[in-house]
Amino acid sequence: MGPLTRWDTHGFTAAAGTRVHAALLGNADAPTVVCVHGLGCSHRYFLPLARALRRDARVVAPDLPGFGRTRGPSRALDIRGLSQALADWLRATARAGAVVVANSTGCQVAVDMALHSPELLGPLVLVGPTVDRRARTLPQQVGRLIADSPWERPTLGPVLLRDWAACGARRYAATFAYMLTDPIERKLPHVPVPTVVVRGARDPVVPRAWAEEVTRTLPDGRLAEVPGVGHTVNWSAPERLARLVRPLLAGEHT
Amino acid sequence: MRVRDSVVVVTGASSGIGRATALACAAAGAAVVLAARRAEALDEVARECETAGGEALAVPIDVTDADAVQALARRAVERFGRIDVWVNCAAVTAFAPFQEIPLEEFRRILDVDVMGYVHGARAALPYMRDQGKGVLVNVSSIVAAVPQPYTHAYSMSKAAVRVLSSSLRQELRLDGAKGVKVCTVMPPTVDTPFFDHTANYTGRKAKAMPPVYSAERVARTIVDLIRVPRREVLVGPMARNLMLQSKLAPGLAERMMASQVDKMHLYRTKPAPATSGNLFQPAPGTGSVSGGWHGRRQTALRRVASTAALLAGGAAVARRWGL
Repeated sequence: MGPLTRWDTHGFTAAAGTRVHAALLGNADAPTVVCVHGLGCSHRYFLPLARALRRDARVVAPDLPGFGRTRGPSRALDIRGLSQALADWLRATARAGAVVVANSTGCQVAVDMALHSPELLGPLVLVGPTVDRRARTLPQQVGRLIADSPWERPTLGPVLLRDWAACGARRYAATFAYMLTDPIERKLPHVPVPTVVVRGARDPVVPRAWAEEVTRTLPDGRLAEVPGVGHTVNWSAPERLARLVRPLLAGEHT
Repeated sequence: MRVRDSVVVVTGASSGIGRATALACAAAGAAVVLAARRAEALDEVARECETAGGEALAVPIDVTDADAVQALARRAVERFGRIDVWVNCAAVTAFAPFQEIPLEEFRRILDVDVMGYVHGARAALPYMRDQGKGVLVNVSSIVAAVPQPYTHAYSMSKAAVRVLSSSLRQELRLDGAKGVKVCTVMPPTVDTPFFDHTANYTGRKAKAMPPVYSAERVARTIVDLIRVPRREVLVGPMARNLMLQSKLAPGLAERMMASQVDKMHLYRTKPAPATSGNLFQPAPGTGSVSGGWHGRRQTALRRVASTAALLAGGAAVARRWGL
């Protein structure tokens, strides 16, 4: 199992005013899948998905500035700042048009790109897109995250703890505030690419009504539910998520 | 600051402390940018750094050229995206009676050892302030506190560097740039090729004045300093000793240093021709960390000797008091 418990390589790119780290795994000749992590997370929790896709795709998981192994500015970036950093990195590494798999707040970052750099977007997979516009307060979101914890695999805990330590409490709190106020529903109509909205059927952070609304608001959206799992589908059901991503690699979107 | 994944620029990286620092940072997982005059030496250091596990970029420049140092910072950012740490380490020296060193060589030393650091700080600090974070390490010397005869320009420069660090710290504090740290490192005699590269007009060959410490030890101190920045760090017990002496009995410290340098820093029996050393032309070759002064062995021997002395002293005390 040696080679499967870690990434193939780690790449660094001068972009977005910092040294952006990205972890890479999979077939180098295959199409690229870019993974965009959520709040306080990093490339690490995409490893199971990367493993599941390794034969069909080159999976690249960058760390946004201030998270994982990418140093950030001393003040936390807002959603626009993060999405501009992602866009800059996509340009610098010539990965425009790659399939983008985003989780949670990463979905907000990916969707925001539709406003300033739509040409960089490839087919999108929004896994648990936040934030439900009917629950845009701190207590509601914290409550939902706690309610989600029984539906996550316990192994996610140590991974997240490490990432939270890397980003720090202040950056986490500041980014949380930016995340809450980001009006994603007003940006969704501008997403110019085929999009799959993925929802863990047990996910309290993204209730079905919100996932359906997101799908409806997208010009080319489709909803897929993964039964039995919570918010972090890429960690708890990587194989089933990979099955949803694969058709996009070949350019078949239904 | 974590050393892993950070971007470290080192001037004077072709030999001695600079080279050891670059290697130590690379081994700790940093990306290093290497600056010095000798391209072929830098290429070799870059290869060593890559073998040690870090990415490396060699930029051959002379630190007295302010534009070239600015370009060095730009190259670092273009390649690695940011500058987390800047280590000013490039320095030259001369051993010469005051009236005999050519004035242009005196000026050249001040130019490299003072203005070179100024250029480095001016190039690095804007990036660090933009990032809100950074560590500027200025390698000074214990001679900043207890100067030496015959190396006026060098001693003056090292004192100037120490003062520059202090001034910068204060200015950054007033500007509220809390995340940007400026540190001074004050090593004692270090086993580097420095003493073979020196300009010399004394007629006597220069040698490393004991006690000699290894360049790797200074490099370790600098890596620790990046992790936990401090204002000033003395390397090794001899430096701490000299600093204490300079404060408690400055006159005595001066007299002792004068006779020490006369006896131990210059050979009495080995003559040396007048030379401008590496002041204007870099030394040939691919450079090295050590200068063959056995810094590591000397440190080990001193440790054995002082442990033995301590044990003997302890035994004597125990016998005297019948413990």
